[in-house]
Amino acid sequence: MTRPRRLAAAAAALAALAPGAPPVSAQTPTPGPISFSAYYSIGDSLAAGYVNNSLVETHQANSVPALLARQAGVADFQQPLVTEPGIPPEYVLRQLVPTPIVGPKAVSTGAPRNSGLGRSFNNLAVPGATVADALGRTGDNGGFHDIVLRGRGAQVAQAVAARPSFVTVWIGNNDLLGAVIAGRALEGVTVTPAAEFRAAFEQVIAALQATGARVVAANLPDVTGIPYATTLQRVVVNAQTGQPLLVDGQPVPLLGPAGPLPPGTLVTLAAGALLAQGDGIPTTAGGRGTPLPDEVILDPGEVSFLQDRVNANNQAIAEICQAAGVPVVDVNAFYRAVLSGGYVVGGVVLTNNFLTGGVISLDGVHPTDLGYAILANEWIRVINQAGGELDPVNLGPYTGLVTAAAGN
Amino acid sequence: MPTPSGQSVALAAALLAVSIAGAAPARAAGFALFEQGARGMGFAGAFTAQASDPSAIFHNAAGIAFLRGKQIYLGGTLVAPSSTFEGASPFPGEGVTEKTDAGLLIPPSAYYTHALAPDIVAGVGVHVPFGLRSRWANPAAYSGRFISRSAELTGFALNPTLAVKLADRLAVGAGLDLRFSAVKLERSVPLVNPFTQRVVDAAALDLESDMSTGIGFNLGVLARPSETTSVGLAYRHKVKVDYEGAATFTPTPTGNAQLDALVVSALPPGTQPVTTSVTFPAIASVGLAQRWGRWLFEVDVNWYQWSTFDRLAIDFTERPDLSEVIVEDYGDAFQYRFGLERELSETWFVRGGYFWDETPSPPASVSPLLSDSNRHGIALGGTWNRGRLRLDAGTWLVLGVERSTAGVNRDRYEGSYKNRAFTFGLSLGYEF
Repeated sequence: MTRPRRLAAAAAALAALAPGAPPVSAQTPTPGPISFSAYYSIGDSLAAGYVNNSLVETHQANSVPALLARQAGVADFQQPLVTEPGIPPEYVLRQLVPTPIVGPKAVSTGAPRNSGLGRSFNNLAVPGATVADALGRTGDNGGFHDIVLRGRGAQVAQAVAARPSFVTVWIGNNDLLGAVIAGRALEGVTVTPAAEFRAAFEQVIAALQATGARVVAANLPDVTGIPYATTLQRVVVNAQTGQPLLVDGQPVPLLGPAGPLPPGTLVTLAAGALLAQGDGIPTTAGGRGTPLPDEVILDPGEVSFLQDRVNANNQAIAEICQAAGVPVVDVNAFYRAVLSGGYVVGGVVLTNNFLTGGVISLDGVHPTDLGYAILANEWIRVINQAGGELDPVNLGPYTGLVTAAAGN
Repeated sequence: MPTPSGQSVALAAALLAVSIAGAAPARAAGFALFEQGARGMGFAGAFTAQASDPSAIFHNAAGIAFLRGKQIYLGGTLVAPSSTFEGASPFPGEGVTEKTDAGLLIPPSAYYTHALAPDIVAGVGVHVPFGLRSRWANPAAYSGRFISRSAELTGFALNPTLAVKLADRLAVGAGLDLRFSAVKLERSVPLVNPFTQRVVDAAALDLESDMSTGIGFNLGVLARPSETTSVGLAYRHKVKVDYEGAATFTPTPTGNAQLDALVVSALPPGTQPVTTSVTFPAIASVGLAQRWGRWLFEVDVNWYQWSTFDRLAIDFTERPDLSEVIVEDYGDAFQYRFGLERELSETWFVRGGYFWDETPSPPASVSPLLSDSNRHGIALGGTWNRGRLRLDAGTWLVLGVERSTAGVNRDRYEGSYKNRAFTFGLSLGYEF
C-alpha cells in the first residue's frame, strides 16, 4: 500500500516545485514562528531560578525563563523577585578546609519585592510545586505558592487567563525529588504514583494548548544522579586524602539501620553533619559505631525504583508531548552527558561535582547561574528548531572569565 | 525543591584533584611550511617540475640529478604570522577580541649537492617541512588560555639524497628523511572557585618535549619530454615522531588562602614525565613547467595526508588520571600553486605567483592553538646571478580566509579567526 502514497508524495513535491503553485499543505501543519509577546513559565524551583537553596533576586535574574525572555527581547518579563538574603537565606560556603561547611549566609530572610504587581507574573514557577500543584494549588500558608501566585489562581490557571502566546513547561521534578531529600521512596508519599503523574501532566499540556499558545516542555533528570546523592561515599573516607579508608586492605562500609551499607547505597549530603561527629562510622574505623538514620540513605532498592520512575515519567512526558506536537528539551540527556564527560566551555570542563563542578550550586540539587545559562541554551536549541529565533546566551560573564561589558 | 538547611559537609581535599585534570590540553596541527628556498618561493612554491637548484632536495629529489659539480644553496625565511580572533556566543561571546603576539619564525634551509659521476648526484639538505609558533597576547587574561596560551613546534629535517639520470631527460631520486622535532605547549589550568562559583586560574601548565626523532623517506621523478617542458612527481612519506618530555604545573594564586592550599596539595609536584606522538603527513606533488622564450611557467598540485592527524594523545606516564586523548579529525588537503618567471637579462630574473592552500581542519578543531583556514598566497621574487653565484629573494603575502568555528568547536570556544602571514626569504647559491 505504499506505492500510491509515494506517488502522491511525488506529485505533491512536483507541485511544490512548479512556479506559482500554491503551497502544499502537509499532514501536520508547520507551525509559524514562536512569539514571545505573551510568554509565561510553568514550573518548579528549577524554572524559578532557585540557587544555593534559596529564591533570591540575584539568581532569579538568571532563571532559564528570564534568560529566554532576555534573548527574545521581552521588555517586561516579570518574576516574583525576593530580596537578599533570599527565602530561605542563600547558602554560602563558609569554609573549605579542613572540612567544607555550607550554610545560610544570614539568619534573617528576604522579602517579596514586587508582590503588588497588577497582573500575573510571567514566571509562575513555584519552588516545591508538583505537576498536580501546577494544576490545583493556589496557596500554601505563606509559602512559595503564596509568594508567586498571590491568590490569583493556580499556575496553569493564571497562564491560561493571561492569553499566552508561548509557554514553557518545566515541572515534575518534585514528584520524585522529595524521596531523595527525605531518603525515603514511598509511593503516594514522597513519590507521585505514575498514573497520577501522567494524568496531571497531560492536563497541563492540554489546558495550555487549548489557549492556542505554542508550548515547549522539558523532561526530568535522574534525581539519583545529582551531587546531593552522589557526593558522599558509602564507605569511610580518610578526611585528609578523600580516599576510602582501608582496614586490613578493605574499605569499611558506613553503618545504616540494617548494618553495613551494601554496594549501590547512596548517602545524601544530609549525612554530612552526622559523619562529621562520627555517626555511621564503625568504632574500628574511629567512629561512634552508631548507625546513620534511614533519612540520609537511599538503599539500592530505592535507587533503582527512583531511576525506573524517572524513566517512566519521562516516557509519559515524551508520549504526551509527541501526541500534542510539543517539543521536549531533553534535560535528562543533558544531565547524563554532564555526569559522564562534563560540559566544556572555553576549554574548561564543568562537571557534576559538588562545590567545584561549576554546574550545580551549594545545595547539591539546583544549578548555578552558569548551569542555568547552559540549560537555557539547551532550551534555545529546541525552541529555535520549533520556529524560534533566539541567539544563544553568552556564557562568558557566568564563567567569570569575561566581563559582562565585553561579553554582551 | 528546598533542601534541609544548615548542612555541614564532610569532604576531602582530594575532591579538587579531579577538576585540576579536567582541562583540554593544547594541540598541534596544520603546521606545514613550504618556504624551502627563495627561488621556489618566487614561484609561489610551484617548483616540483623545475627542481633546478639544490632545494630540489625538498621539492623533488630527482631534480639534483641535473645539477653539475658541487653546489650549495643556503638561505632562510622570515615568517611573521599573526592571527586575530572575534568571539561569538555562547563563549567567549561577542565583543571579545584577541590577537597573537607576533612572533617570528626563521626556518633555515641549506642544501649541498655533489655530482659523483655524470649521471649520479648526491646531496644533503637541512630544511623545515613543519613548524609552528602561535602565542596569544596577554596570556594571563586571554579568554582562550585554558586551551592554549602558546604553542611551538620546532625542528628540522636532515635529508641525504641520491639521484640518478636514467636518460638524458629522465631522472629519479630518493632521500632519507631524518626528522628532528620538539614541542612546547603552554596553557592555563582552570578551577571553579567553590566560594564564588566562578572559574579561576589554578595553575599554569608547561609541557616541553626533548628533541625527538623520526624517520621517513622521499622519492622523486623528473622528466623533460622536450627542451621546454618538464614534469615532476614527488612524494615524501609520513613521519611519526614520539616525544618524551616534562610537564610542570605552577600554581596561580586565586586570592583565597584555603583554595590555594588545596590547589597546591592537588597539583602533581615537580615535573611529570609526559609522552605524546605526532604523525607528520605524507606530501605528494605533481608539477608541470613550460618555457616560452624568456617566460617560464609552472603549475603544481600538492596533496597533504593530514588525515594522519586524527588524534593527539598526551600521556602522563606516572599520572594516568591526567592523560588525555584529543580528537582532531583532520582531513587530507590539497594545495594549488602557480608561478611565472620572466628573464630580464642574463643577470636578472623576476617572478611571481599565487597559491591556494586548503585547510585540513574541520570547524570543530579550529582552536586557539591552530586557527587554521584556507589561504591565499601571493608571491613575488627575483634573482640576481653572475658566474657561479646566485642570489634569490622571494616574499609571500598569505591571507587566510576568515574562519568561523560555526558553533561546533570542541572546546566551545566560538568565534572567527583571521590569519595573516608575511614571509621573506633569501637564498644564496654557489657552484664550485
